[in-house]
Amino acid sequence: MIDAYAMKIASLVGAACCMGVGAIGPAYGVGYASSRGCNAIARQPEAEGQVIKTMLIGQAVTESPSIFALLVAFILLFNAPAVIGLAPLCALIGAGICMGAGAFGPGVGAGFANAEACEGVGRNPDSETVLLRTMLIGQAVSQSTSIYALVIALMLIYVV
Amino acid sequence: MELTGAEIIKAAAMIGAGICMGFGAIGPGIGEGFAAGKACEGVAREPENANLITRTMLIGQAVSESTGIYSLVIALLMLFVIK
Repeated sequence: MIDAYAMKIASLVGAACCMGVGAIGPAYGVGYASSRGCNAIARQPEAEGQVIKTMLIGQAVTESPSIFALLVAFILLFNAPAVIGLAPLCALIGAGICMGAGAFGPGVGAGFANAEACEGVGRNPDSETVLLRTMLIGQAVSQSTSIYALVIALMLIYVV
Repeated sequence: MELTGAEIIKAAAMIGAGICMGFGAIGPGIGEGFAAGKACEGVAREPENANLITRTMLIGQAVSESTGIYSLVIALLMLFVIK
């Protein structure tokens, strides 16, 4: 009943869940940050360079959960272990759901921090350094849950 | 290939661990980002209080993180303890 084809289907479903759901949150976060960045530049066009710098640094961090999801999707597609059984099959689907949903929250959260930092740099360009620091500390903490999800997904694929 | 009860339980625990950590990561991720965003807003308004604001942000984020750690613990329990 469970053969190599079933395992392949499970890894395809897992990869689809992973990248499909995992793309939503970071994309929303990045878009929100850039909309608030546009707002800030419209209000204070002379701070354009600083706002864009803050926005791009923050967006790079915001994207990282979707890159974790991409990594797990690639692993599921091309490098899934060749063990056959019901538990490994469910582990492949579980890994996909885990990393997919796990990328959603941190993506939205880090994007929110980035958006407020852009707005702040626009309002107060002198305090750019301290704002960047606060934003990066906050984003790092907010990313931690996506790293937990990555760890659990990799454990599901390789360890169990 | 016959499926035994123990195998089905193990398989359910695998999916369960994935759902647990996946959905458990959504809330803390959004919440901590919200805290960080508001902290950035505060720092922009009053840069001289940046250290105080960062400290408050980190305390709030640590509390918000706790549910993510509960999910991690339950996922690890499902992976390694459930037989």
